[in-house]
Amino acid sequence: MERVERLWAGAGRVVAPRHGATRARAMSVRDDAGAAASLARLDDPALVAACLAGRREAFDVIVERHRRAVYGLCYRYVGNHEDASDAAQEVFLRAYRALGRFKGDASIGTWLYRIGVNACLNRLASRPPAAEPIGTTEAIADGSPDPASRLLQRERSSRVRAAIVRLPARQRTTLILRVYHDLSHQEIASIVGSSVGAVKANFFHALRNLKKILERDPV
Amino acid sequence: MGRTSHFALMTVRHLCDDVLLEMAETGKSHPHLAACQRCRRLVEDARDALTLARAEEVPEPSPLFWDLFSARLHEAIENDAQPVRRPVSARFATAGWRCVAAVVLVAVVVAGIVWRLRTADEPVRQSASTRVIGATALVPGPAAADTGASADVLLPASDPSLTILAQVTAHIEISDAADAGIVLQPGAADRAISQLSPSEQQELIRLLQADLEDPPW
Repeated sequence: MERVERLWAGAGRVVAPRHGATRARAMSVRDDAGAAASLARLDDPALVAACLAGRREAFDVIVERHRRAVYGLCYRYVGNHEDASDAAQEVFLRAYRALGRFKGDASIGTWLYRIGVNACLNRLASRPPAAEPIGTTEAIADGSPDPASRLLQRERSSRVRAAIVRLPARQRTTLILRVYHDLSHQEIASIVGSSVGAVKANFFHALRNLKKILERDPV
Repeated sequence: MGRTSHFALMTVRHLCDDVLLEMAETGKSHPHLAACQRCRRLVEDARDALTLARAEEVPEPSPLFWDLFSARLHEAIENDAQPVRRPVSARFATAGWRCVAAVVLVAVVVAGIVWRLRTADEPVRQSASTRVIGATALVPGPAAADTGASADVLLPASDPSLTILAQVTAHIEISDAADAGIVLQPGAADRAISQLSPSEQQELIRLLQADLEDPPW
């Protein structure tokens, strides 16, 4: 009986760690999933804090939340998918490096836009944007089922995009941030580093110039 | 009557850009627009441009693109030599007390070493300083003041910093300084001895012999 107890105890000693390791692995996977889920519930400032505390996966959540908007911003500047993709990646890389300097005065979205505007303007200063051929990509919200209408819409979008690219940099920035990202004049002023009055003036002139360009080259 | 109309035309004022923009964005109207063709046209142009711009859509990349984008970004961050860093203020907040403690420790230890060295050659200097400053100008060191024992360490009262130094470092042992990593450079002691005058060397020999005959422990 004593021998049996000893064997049982010995078996327990061998088996228990295996079960423990399996359970630990399972718990680890569950913890990872739980951690990811808990991160996804955090707001942006909390994610920044988590990232600064060493949890890099928190930055993944930030990227996931803002990548579409950042890509859209870049696309409107550079006018093609390849450059927009590179520019968006550069924006997030710059943001990751500078995360420690994020003060939290503005939202992280606004902060990313600021980085994005600078990145795109620098990129455009070094080389002009290459226009993308019409019809190579799908529009985000293309509700028209008719192929002809869809093609017309794409062509129209392409021309408007080309007209926007021809605007002076400040007018273009103001127009993009105001029309496509719904930022307030105040937020745009903080991004471009000017007064609210100047932003309004720039936006108004951007609309006038856009109208003139499109009149010269009708949609 | 004609003069009045002319005057009215001359003083007509247009709406400023702010108001024109607000009307273009919100669709509101203004009484001035009914009378002013220029402003009305500006608002209509702005509205048209806004409508066209709003209709423009960014082409959506393929669903696989976002996975690729994330992977590329991960790789770029991995290859990036600059890790994410806390702001300087936060870093100082966490490590600041360590810096302060280290500085205080080093200061205390250095002061202790200086005090020890001064204590060692005090008898040599004492006669000279007594002659110059006079006995009343010398104050007892902290150990003597605290214990009321005879003043075996005398510091010149004309230099209050030495008195403060002595008080701060009264209980610092040379071994503590060594433990803290504050050590003399190799050869420093030899150099110091070689710079002593013959009488100071004689006094040092006497003190060392006295210590050897009657060790403090």
